[in-house]
Amino acid sequence: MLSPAGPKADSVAVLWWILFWISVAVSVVVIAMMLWAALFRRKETTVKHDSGQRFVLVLGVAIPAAILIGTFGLSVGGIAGNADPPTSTQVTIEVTGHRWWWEVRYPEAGFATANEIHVPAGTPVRLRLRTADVIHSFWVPELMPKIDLLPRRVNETWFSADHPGVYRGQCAEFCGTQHSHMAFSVVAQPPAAFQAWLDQQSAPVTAPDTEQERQGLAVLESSSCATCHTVRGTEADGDLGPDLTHVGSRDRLAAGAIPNTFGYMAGWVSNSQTVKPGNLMPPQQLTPDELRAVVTYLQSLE
Amino acid sequence: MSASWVLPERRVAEAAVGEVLDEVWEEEPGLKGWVTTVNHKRIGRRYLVTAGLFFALSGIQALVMRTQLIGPEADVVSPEVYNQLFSLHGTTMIFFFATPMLFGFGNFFLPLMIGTRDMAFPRLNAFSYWVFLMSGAFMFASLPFGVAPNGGWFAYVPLTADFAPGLNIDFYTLGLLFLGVSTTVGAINFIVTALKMRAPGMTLSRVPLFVWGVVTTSFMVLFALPPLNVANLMLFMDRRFETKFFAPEHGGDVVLWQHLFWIFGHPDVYIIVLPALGIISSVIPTFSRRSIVAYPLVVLATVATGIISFGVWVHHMFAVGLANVSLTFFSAATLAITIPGGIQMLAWVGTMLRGRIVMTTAMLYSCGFIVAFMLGGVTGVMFAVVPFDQQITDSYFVVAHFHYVLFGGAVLPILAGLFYWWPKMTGRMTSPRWGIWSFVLVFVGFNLTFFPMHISGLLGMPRRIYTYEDGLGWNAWNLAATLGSYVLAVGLLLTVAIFAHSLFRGPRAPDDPWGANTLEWATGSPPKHYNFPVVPTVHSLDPMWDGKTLQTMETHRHDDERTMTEEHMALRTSELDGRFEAVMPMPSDTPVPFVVALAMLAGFTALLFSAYVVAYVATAMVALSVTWWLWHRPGVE
Amino acid sequence: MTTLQSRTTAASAVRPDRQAPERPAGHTTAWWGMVLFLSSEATTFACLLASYFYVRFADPGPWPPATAPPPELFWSSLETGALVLSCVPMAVAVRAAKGGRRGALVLSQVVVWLLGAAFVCFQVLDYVVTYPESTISEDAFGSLSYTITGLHTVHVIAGLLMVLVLIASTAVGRLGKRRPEPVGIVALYWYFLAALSVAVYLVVYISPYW
Repeated sequence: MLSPAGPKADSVAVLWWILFWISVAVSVVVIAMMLWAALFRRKETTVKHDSGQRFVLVLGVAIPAAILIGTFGLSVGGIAGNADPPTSTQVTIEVTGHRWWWEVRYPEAGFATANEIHVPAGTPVRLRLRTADVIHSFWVPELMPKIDLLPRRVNETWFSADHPGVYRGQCAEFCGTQHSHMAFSVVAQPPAAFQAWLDQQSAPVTAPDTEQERQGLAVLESSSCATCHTVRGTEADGDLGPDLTHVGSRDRLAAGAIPNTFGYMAGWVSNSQTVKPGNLMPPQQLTPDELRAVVTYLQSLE
Repeated sequence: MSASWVLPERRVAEAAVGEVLDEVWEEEPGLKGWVTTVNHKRIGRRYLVTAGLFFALSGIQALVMRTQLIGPEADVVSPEVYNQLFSLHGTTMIFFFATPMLFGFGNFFLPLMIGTRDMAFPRLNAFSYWVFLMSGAFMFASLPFGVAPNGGWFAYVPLTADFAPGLNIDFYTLGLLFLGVSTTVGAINFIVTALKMRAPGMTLSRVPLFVWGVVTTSFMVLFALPPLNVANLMLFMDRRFETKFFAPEHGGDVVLWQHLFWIFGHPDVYIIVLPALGIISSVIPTFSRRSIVAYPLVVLATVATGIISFGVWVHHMFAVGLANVSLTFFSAATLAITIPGGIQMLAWVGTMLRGRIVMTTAMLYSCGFIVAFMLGGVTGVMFAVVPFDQQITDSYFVVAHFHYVLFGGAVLPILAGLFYWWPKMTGRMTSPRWGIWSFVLVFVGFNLTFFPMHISGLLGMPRRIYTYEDGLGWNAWNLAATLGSYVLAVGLLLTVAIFAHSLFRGPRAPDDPWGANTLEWATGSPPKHYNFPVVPTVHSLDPMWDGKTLQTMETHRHDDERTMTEEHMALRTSELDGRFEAVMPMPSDTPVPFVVALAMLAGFTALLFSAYVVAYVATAMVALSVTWWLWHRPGVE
Repeated sequence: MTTLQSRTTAASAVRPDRQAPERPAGHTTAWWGMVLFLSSEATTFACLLASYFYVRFADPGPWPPATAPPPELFWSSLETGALVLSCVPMAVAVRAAKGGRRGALVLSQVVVWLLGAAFVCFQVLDYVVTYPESTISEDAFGSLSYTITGLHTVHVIAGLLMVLVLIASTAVGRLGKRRPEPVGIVALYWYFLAALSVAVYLVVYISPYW
């Protein structure tokens, strides 16, 4: 949050620096008085026996009250400033928290992905947040403060990224064993690139090109993969785990836990418990050939 | 030092009635006496030792966690164990260390400070200690079996309801309900003692600030614990009997838990801190050689804090997505509670600025406290600013903030209090030279541990994560915090060594080694069972300094109503102006409180393992033993 | 052993200047203990009743839920009436204790006990006769209704135990004119139960009809 990259985080960063300098000033004054007494009033012979009420009333009531009223102004201003986006939103994204990954749905384009939220840079995006199980909290420090995802409720908010870039987000409400590995990334792209990404993601997968990929698709459809995962354009239509339709295009796997490479993905598929202990995907009983085929296929789904 | 070895006034008083009182108040020796005692000083000492032990256990958990976070992707403990460690650390530090430790000081010193012979309900006092000990053992027993609470100290539903199989959360709900009994009756005991048993002449405007702190805290306990108990009862029933309080698909609501928890949770911060501030308000005047500045304002501030703290709980829920109008209200209330804090802070500094400072170990810790509490206070104000709170809540910045408030605002005062009152409790002095080392190591270690957490929080590190990736800029700050925690551990070990050394080798302490202002220093070091041979008449806020109060221990030494030599007795005085009302008979040693607590332990253990028949039997046992207890009222036999 | 009263008088005889009238009678420690305990208990029930309304207004559906039967008023009105009525003999008992009338004290306490026992019986009848089908685990409405009434009933049962101890103490002469205090303390608890029963009745049984 010290390097804000969007209007919401900007305004909080400004607040922070104001609060920081007020705090420094107040602390320095009080601590200096204490230290002065502790260091220089030890040989003192004149103990003052007045009541000292005025000292406390001025320094401990009047001045703090003035500062606090100012701070309240900041707080109210901040609440009002964050309520609505500066311009109308073009894109709505529905995010659903799961233990321990993020489902990201683009209702207008009609597809879902996971743990990677692409947005057009420079325009506000509307977020609709819900949870599939326990309470999570959506937080992208460089872009926006956090907001919780609660059962039976939908929280709506907005954010925007000023410039193209990748911003890290993470679940901020303790949600169980793998709360630590529940990250996501916000990828802000120039509007044209974002549109291209949308078009590419909303298309179903095409038929596999190579023999090994065909074998991988067969494994995917016939094994337990298909009961939990969806790959649009194939028979895999499970909805417990992340949508894998264009999984090859993603940068990281398992909600940020590992990079999306052949080796890591193979390790994940064969036994994800060694990578992210306690996650809800069971180890897969696949032969080395099957494993190689299915990972090759998944990696090809750009 | 102005103090002579034994205060001359006490010498005269002891000469008159000490021998008779010794006999009347003598306790049963050996194991039997150990179980049956109702003496507030023994119980207070036990509270301090037991809470200190829980602090050590909980601190070791923290060291394991810090070691796990020393660098990215470390593998010291598994995620499941880490989650249990932080949950148990928070729960036990708050419930089983901080509050009981301060209750220990209250038990030992509140009756001494107000000039009486015991707490209002000595048997209830023994009971509340046994329940505290047993509920603590109950809670800690979960860890070795790998079923410690694992939902964080605020145990949000539904994570702790449908998504947490196993006994972990049952240990949490039952352990806290069990402990709640102890805390509630302890609070009632403090309030009644302070209201009805102050020495004659101790009007409300002469009550020591530590007593005000303990009493305000006790009132808060009475109104803050019920919401927690109700929440835990509901959660236990949701888990065991499939009630639907927190089940969203059956009309229940998960945010209800958060409201109930934080209506308790925020006042609880002040429940912990107010007695600790009271310790500071005892230490600073003594070592500034003058009365506290602006006493009426400090009293007002203490009470105001207690009241306002019930109106700020929603600032823990700013990220839930509540209506803006409620955010605005709770933002204002949270800012308002800063004012009483400011009053107290300036009263301490003002007292120092107007006095002559005597630098002892207790005073060093008090100065360290002022620095730490100042920093914890200003970061607290930041959380009142709603958008900032939403950005930084549940990050390491929060962890830093509340450790400045709770370690800085409670543990440092507790250490100040231990060094201050150690001679009174044990009759031995501690080494001032080693005291400096204790302070330096603890203070440096504390800051090195917790200051970097502000920065890692600002850099986006959420709390309650068992590990983190490389390359996020968090490594250096976490390394520093971990090293700091080791320094802190060394400092605390050294402190324990100082006390141990003093206990066996320390020089003997006189009655009033510091030239202090309040009545506990008018007793022996350590005090006799009966505290005061002759109950004095209090003439001012600083009875040791006014030159009249001590005199009354001599002048009243032939007055039956002040010496009460026939059996266990204490004075009852009026609530507001401390006027004499009656001489009350007080109970003596009894094993019944221990038996009741034991039966309750059996009951709660039975509930844990769903052995409901055993639970019924235990309930009947409790009812029977309580009947026995009420039957044997003092003064009836 | 000399009694307290005579000792106090003896001390006053020595120094007549410190005798009443300026000595305030004052509340005893036990009175304060009970009052503080009850304020905590009242807070507990306030939290439960507040939770009732919180859940009611957070739930978008009808209240009580369509599947749950609306509360019946017959047994609940009877039980509340019985407990409120029992305050009268309780007040008689307090006066009897102060006046040292042992017979009246025992008699009034027995009437209190019977009315309290009637409360518990009516409550149980309410559970089993009126709603044989519904359970505490059906929905949040059932959980709240049963928990609030159940916890109150548990408190009444504890009160019955206290009254029983009082009756026994009176019978063996441990209570009476010189030590009337326990009766007053138990009465405080009993009045609290009665007031609470009205609050519970209004919230659990009447408010669903609003």
